[in-house]
Amino acid sequence: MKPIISLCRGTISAHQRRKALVRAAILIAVLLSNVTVALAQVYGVARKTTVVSGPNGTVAASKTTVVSGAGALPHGYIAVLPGGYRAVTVSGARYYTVGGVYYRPQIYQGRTVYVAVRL
Amino acid sequence: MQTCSEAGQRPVHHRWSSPTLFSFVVGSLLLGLACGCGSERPTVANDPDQLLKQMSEKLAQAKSLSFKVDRKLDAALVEGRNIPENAQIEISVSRPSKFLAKSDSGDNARQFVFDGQNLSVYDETMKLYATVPVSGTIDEVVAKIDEKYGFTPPLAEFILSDPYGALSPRIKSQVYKGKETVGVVECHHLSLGGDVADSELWIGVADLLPRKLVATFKGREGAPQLQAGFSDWNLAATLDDKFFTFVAPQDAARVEMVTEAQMKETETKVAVRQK
Repeated sequence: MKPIISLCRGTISAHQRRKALVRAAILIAVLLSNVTVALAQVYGVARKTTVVSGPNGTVAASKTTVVSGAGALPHGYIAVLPGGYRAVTVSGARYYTVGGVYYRPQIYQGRTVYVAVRL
Repeated sequence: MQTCSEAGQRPVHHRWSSPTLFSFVVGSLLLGLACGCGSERPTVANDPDQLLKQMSEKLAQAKSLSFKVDRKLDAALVEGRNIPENAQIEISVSRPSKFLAKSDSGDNARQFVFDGQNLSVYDETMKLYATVPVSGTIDEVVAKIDEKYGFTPPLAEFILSDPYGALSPRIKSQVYKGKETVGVVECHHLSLGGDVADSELWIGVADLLPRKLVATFKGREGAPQLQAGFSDWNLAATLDDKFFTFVAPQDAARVEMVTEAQMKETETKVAVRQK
């Protein structure tokens, strides 16, 4: 068989080269199959990367912080219903009402939250 | 040391000169350091990275496992509420693509069920559930729901196929703190420093299973903590497919599972309206 690559000591045949390429491909496949799961959660606690933009859209700073507490929910959302609520069914969907306000339950970040709605 | 002096032929005591004594002491210290005498050399038994890897391998090898966690969250880490939470969590896993996590904190009981095709979150207290289609291995599904819905099952890092791969990128420093007893279990105590949280982890000496975790979230005011005590490890649990099938109770109502994108859109609308 005609040698295709000459090294300092010895030669590699086309067959050997093919075998080496197959081995390399298997190694790459194994490495890629073991990709780390990069979670945005730390032991189940949410964190968020805040990017501070500078002039012309440049990134001035990037900081990872843990986000939780009452501040995490947008306006109109609550994590706990006010006392004295009662459940009602409207068009087959469950709502809760208290003090004249209606709340639609949703699951957000694995927990139940309630958003004030107009019915 | 005794010798004879040429002058008086009397035995005299040689006195150690200061440079000789200094050289002797320094030489002894250097020799001691070179031999590793007087200091604890890193071995597999006290190398925190090796211990983490061994713990990870032990968990990954178990195809069907269950364990319990007694988790305490400081108020600042409880989403949307300003009170601390103590929860009993039971986690069952069937690799590669099923898990069930039950969490009960007294006033709130929840379940996370993944059957290989769907993920369901069930609020047992309020009788509400949400089910979303999501398929793949546990690793893939945890990553998908983390990205799309902004949460993971409790302590998901420990049920992935490679816990070391999930934990190690966050670790910026690690120290072996020695052996300590957690309950009645002798453990290796590791101190793991990270950007978001500094963690103390106790791994059983005999079984290499996690026994206790204390994470301090240093980026938040008051440095709130998560404490988790692991128990009831069963690495050969008998769990059939039915165990991971979520069947909604008749009196439970289905609700929407809100994505991070939807919530951001809501936040933007609210901000525009407030302007």
